[in-house]
Amino acid sequence: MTAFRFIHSADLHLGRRFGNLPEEIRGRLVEARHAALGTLAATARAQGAQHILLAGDTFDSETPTDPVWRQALAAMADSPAHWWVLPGNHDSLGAETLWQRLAAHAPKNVHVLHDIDPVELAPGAMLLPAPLPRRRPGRDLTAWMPGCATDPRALRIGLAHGAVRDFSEDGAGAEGIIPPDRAETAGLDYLALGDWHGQMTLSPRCAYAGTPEQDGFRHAARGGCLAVTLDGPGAPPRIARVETGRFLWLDLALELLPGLCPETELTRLLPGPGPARRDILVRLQAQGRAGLAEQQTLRRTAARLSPEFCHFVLETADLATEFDAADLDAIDHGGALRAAAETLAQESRDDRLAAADRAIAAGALNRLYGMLQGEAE
Amino acid sequence: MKIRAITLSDVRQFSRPVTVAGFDAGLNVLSAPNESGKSTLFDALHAVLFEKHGARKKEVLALQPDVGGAPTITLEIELDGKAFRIVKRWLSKPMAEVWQDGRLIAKADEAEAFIARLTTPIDEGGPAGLLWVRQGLTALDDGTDRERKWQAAARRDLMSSITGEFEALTGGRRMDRVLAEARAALAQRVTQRGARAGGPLERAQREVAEHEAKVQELRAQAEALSRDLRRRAEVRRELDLLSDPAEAAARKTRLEEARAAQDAARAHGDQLAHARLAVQSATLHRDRAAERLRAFTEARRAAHASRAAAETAAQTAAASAAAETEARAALEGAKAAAETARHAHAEAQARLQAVLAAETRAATASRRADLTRRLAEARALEPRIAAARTAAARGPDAATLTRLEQAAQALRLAEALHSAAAPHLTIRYHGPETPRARLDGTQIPEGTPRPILGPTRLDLPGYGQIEIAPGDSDGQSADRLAAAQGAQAQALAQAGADSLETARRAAKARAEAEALLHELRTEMRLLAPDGLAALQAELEPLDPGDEGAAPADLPPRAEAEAQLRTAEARRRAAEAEHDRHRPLFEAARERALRDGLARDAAAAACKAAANHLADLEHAGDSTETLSRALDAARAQLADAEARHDALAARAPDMTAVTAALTRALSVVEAAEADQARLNAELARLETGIELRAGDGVEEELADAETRLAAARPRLEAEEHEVAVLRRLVVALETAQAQARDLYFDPLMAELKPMLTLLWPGAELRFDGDSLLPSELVRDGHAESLGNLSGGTREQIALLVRLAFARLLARSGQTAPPVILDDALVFTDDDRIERMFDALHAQAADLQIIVLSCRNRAFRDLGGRKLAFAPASETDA
Repeated sequence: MTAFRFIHSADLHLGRRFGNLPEEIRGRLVEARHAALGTLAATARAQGAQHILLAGDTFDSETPTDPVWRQALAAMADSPAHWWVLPGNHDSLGAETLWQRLAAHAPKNVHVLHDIDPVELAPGAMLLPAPLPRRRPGRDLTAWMPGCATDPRALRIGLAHGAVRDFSEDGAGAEGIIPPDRAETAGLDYLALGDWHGQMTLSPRCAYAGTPEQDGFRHAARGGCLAVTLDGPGAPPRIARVETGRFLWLDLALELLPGLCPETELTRLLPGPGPARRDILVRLQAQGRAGLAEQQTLRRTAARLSPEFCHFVLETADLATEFDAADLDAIDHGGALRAAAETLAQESRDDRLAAADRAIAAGALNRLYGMLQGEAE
Repeated sequence: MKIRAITLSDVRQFSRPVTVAGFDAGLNVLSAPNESGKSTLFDALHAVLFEKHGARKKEVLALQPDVGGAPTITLEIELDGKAFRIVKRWLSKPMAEVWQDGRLIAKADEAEAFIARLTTPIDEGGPAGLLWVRQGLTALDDGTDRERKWQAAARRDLMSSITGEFEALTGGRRMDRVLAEARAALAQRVTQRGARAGGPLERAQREVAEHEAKVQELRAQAEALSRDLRRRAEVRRELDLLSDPAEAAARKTRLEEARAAQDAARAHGDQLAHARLAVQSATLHRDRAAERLRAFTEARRAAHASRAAAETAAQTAAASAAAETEARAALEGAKAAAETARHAHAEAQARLQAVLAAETRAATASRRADLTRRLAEARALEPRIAAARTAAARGPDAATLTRLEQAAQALRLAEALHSAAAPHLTIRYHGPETPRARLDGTQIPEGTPRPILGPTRLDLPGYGQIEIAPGDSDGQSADRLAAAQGAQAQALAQAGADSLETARRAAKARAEAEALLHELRTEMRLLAPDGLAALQAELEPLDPGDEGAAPADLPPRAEAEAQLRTAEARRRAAEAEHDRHRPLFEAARERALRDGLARDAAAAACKAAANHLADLEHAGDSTETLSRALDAARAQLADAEARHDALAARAPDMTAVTAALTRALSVVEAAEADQARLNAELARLETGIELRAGDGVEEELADAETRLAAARPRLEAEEHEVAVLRRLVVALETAQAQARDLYFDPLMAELKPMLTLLWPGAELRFDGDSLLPSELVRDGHAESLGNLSGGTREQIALLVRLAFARLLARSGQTAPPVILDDALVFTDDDRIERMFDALHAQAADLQIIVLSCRNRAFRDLGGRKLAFAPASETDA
């Protein structure tokens, strides 16, 4: 038998709108998600694969707008590959209208997997799908696979959506956990999973493909898919990771201590300068401690660099303010300004006060310092 | 430095030298009219201390008298306990000298240098600019721009020397800029009422609110859609179940079975009804047999019993008849005794009536005799009463007599007065032999004065007659006499008497007649209290015919009454006995009657029972035949009941059968109705879902939730930013206020006691730039200085100058005296007294020179009084 190759992808979440991000970049991110279909088709073409398995959550909701599903079908139809679409928790079979419309309008190369029945992908390759009947089925939908007999000469490929541990991408809890050894117990040559947006290989025969285009800071890598090659029943699958994502979401922790130069540390942490920064979203979480001047430097550096990125946000809630007499001298050596600064400094260290009040005092001191430094410049 | 004296020579109007001497260390007052030279003195002090002797500037030229000359000023001062004299002359032969103890210690420039060391020049910020108040410039910021600038410099130098640089203490422009920046940033976000419209905070709040509303709305839509989807699935499942052929066939089979069960149950019910009728019929048959046996047994028992009863009743009736006869005899005896007693009683009553009638007749006769006597006596009294009444009506009554007595008394008094007023004639005879003279025919006794009351004729035997006409020597007494006489005559006429004695007798007779009349009337009232007619009327009914003689055999009344009581007691006893026998008889008669009837009835019953038993026996009934018939009926009933019970035990539950049929029917009907309803609902759901599914509600909701999740941290960040800015502004304002208070503390310490003199509890707030008061705070209310009255402003200005002077004195610097040239022009008399107190209080360690044209107002200021005086040659 010749090797059977297919593309394993999942979690396209078409229709996601990114309302938590600034208006000006939402359009780019939405468009990138739609473009992932073309990228997957191109990847299949490049990998010589005739089949693309989408392991759930192709759509972000059970009621996507007409443009979303119609344009998705159009993009799939534009590819010679066969698209095998499994309903996930975001687009479960409970979305009857969606799937009815898809069934009514889908081109021939798009196959919606409604039923728990083996499907022949190609001669000698059987697909065992586990569509989600509703958002939270509350049971292991792959449980039927071990009992499903197929031609022993055919490949057995499982397709499912859900968590294998006591968490999932949605944090939905422990209901319906897929056993991590399901591929082995069900005699599968490969179990293609969806739900986890990062790529993860659970066993030689089981993997999460991850999303082809990332949509959050949780997974510190561009989106991708898996090109899986099955040489024959029982042979170990060959799994190749293919990067498909355009946007890189970076969740960076910047550890600061008094004496460290925030600008140097930040520069070292960020990807090098260049046009690639335009497709990078950064959430920089400053942590540790920093003096007034260092915090000032951090803010100025972040403000200077942020326009180079698609999105850049600096969070300093976990950055404690540390200051000494020199910092206060920088405000004033005496007089009312110094008195105000000392009052705020004292409050920021006063354990008798609530943490929120201490933070407000530290913030006020930082602000005073920043205003006076701005004056100096 | 203390000024001791000053001499002006060729200074304006003082072409001849004048001196003001005797300055004291404390308060000095030069109170003089306008144009007496006070302002010249002020300018002279200014010139000698601050104008170089070689100067020819306008201030110096202004000192020169109109007639020309070299203005020369000599100033005596005390410095560090030593006395110095400074002499300056300008314009012509200018010179400057400083003398100590008659010794020239400096001259020309050295002298100027000595003077310059005394105090900084005004144009260099010297304190004199601050402490000297020229006439007409009472406010703190009066004068030219240069003068204001000099004064500000003086204040700043003074305050800086005491508390440091104001700018350094309060943060200066840096503080102002930072504070303004923080306030501006805060103002962009909040106003006093809340978030500023259009500001970042309000935008963040609005954003969160809008997203929350949107999420809520979309969530409701999504839930509705989800609900509809779930419902559609349910409806479809239900329709599938309803339209399932197997289910429909099962529903039909269940219905047919229920109907068959109902038919079988009805047939069994009919059989059971027949069995129940058979039981009822057997029960009736058994009851009839039992009744016949019971009736026959009863007839036999009744025949025996009635016969015995008839015999007993006959015996009882005979006994009752005998008792009746005996009772009747007893009753007749009692009746006869009662009649006898009643007759005796009637006789006793008649006897007593006769006794009483006799007594009544006797009483009537007695009454008639008494009335007849009283009538006769009364009639005899009537003419006597009439005579007494007539007598009592004659003569004067007591009042008339009293008036007459009073008139007689008045006449006697008038006569006495008239007699006393008349001439009196007294005759003295020569001897007993002398013939007695006669007055109006009456012999006149010797030695007795006789009044001559009217024309009098005096007969003198042997001489003839003397007629005396006394004239009217006393007309009044004669008039009174005539009036008294007239009154008496009128009283006598009213009394119907011709004299008093007659009247008195008539009055006495009348009184006696009245007494008699009263006595007679009393007697009449005793005899006939109601009059003679009433007495007559009482007498007339008493018929003399009733007074017949009583029977001679009548017993005494007491005896007749005793007889009556005895007869009555006997009658009552006999009647009671009769009454006692009457019910006894009635009872006996009734019992005899009743027993007779009972006897007859018992006999009839006995006959009837015997006839009834004979009839039954004649019909063939006997105890044996009837008992057998009853046993047969009972057996028949037991068989019927057994059949009925067997059927009842097998009977189906008709209610359950009917309910099962009803349920089966309703299931079929409900299935049809449900199908119709569900089809309609499905159509509605399909339409709604079709309409909403393409709107991407969940996509919208997910997006709105994401936006809300992102907006909330932004709002929190903005709220944190507001809190930070607020805290910063408060910290800066507090520090600045504290620094300002610290800066002005020494000045306020000096001012406070003086302010208290005028406005207890008041405070002044100072402006950091001008170092001048900007607001007066009284009772917690701050007033801008510009809004205060002119008087208050000049009082505050003076107090502030005094406070600065005190500060200067305490700072150890050489300070010139405080010179006030008409510094209180708007202050009223009441306030000026308290200002004087303030001046005295400050003058303890300051030299204060007050120049004023208000002689009267400043008379009570106290302090050392100064005056212009011609200077001696030495002074000059």
